Amino acid sequence: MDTFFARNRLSAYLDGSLSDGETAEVDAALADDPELRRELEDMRRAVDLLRIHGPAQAPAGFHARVMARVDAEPPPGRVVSLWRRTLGRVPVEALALAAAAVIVVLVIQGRGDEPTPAQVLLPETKDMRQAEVEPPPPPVQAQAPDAAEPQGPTPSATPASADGDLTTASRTQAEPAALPAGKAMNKLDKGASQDASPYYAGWEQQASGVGSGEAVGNTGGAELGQGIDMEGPRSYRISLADPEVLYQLSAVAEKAGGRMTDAEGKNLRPRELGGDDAWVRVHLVVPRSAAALVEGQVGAMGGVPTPPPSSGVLYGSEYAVFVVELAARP
Amino acid sequence: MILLLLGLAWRPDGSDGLDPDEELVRRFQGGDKAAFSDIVQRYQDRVYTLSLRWMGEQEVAEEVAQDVFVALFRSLDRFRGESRLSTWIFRVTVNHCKNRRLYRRRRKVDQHEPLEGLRPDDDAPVRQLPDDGPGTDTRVHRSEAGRLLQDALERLDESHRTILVLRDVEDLPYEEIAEILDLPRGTVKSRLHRARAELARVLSRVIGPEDIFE
Repeated sequence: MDTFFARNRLSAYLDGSLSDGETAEVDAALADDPELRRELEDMRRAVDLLRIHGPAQAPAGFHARVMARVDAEPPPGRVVSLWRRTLGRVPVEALALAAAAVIVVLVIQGRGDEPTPAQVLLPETKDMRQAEVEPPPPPVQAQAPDAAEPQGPTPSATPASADGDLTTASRTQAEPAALPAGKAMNKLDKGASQDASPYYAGWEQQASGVGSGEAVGNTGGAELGQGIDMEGPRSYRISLADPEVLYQLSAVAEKAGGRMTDAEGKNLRPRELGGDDAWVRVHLVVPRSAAALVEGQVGAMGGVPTPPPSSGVLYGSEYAVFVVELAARP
Repeated sequence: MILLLLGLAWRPDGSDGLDPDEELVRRFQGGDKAAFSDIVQRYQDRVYTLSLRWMGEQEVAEEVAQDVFVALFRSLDRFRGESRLSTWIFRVTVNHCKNRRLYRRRRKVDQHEPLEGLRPDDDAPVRQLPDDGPGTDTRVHRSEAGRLLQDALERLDESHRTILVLRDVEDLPYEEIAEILDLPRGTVKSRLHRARAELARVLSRVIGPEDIFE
């Protein structure tokens, strides 16, 4: 028999796992080759050593120690135990980092969801001329956070035409600052029963602090030029506005793909601002992607950021709303 | 026919035909925690042996063996019986040993004094064991042989050491070793041959036939 063949079968020969024919061949090779016999004996001795000295007994108390550890384990298969085991293998630093990330995400989401009481009104996508013919669906007023706050006029209570034609709307003659809240409401109600302006809502002015006689803090100056991350409407005031300002604002909105509306979401047709127009309020509803452009243009027109009103029509997250209050040059 | 079926199902020992391991697993999965105690009792020596021959140090081997049983406890409820319990236990043990070895190697804690003359390239004289015979100090002699065996095993390639312990210490058949190591049966046989030849070559330098005692 080939010695090489036999040498490679010594292990199987020891185990008795060769066929009878192979066993006979290895026997023959061993009979002829003393070196092969020595190799076989060395291997047999090694295997004997393993079989005799290899097995060991577990140390005394091993079973008890294992069962003590097992007793400290939560019952297998329970969700809590799986969580504990899974989290137990995760470094504390990683858990802390993950928790911080979750908190940040929740805070960001929470800020974005703040005006949840309001329902969303999708802005008109038609051009303003068409909007003059077809009145837009009635907007939904957001509820003021404080229930004691006076509520604004409902669309049905506003006699203004659906297209918000400035030429037919009467204007507020008095400075809102001079009107107490009750009177402002009365005046608004009176105006509503007669010829209330679609641009002016005393309740909104009061809620936003405009006209209350308080100094309006510049809360948004630093935000100019930083782009728009709208969580609600941005409010601007343009004092000593150019008489053509409404045309300019309307053009800005249209150029940005949006429109100019009143507080209730009705399209407004621009007109020349007269000397007796005090604090006319308009809304520019533009795609959010154009918000930074619009913000810059409003700022270039002399718009000064003011605190936004706490209530008003809300639009979908794809749109940015600029509330612009205007006072004409005398 | 019904009587025939009943006759096939009936067993004189009252068991339902499961082997002891399957019965223990079934009891454990049914909520009997004492069954796990029995499993530990049945396998503690074998798991400890495999760990000891892998790790070399008793303390470390016990840690590994304990970890193996805790791991078994955690996952035994999901054991589906697709392999034998012993196969699964040995597979878990091998994996734990590998991981622990890797861990210790990275931290350089596997420092041990080499046995003189054991390296193949050494020209040192063959080490002679005390030739007192088994009657005078068998325990010491056995202990020395065991230590030489352990040193020799640690000189082997990891895959050779594994297969030697599974086959010649744990006395597992080729098929089960193949399943534990996820190898073809032929690979198990050839690797076993090489491992035995290597161990024989290493041991032949340090011990003689008279050094092996029952």
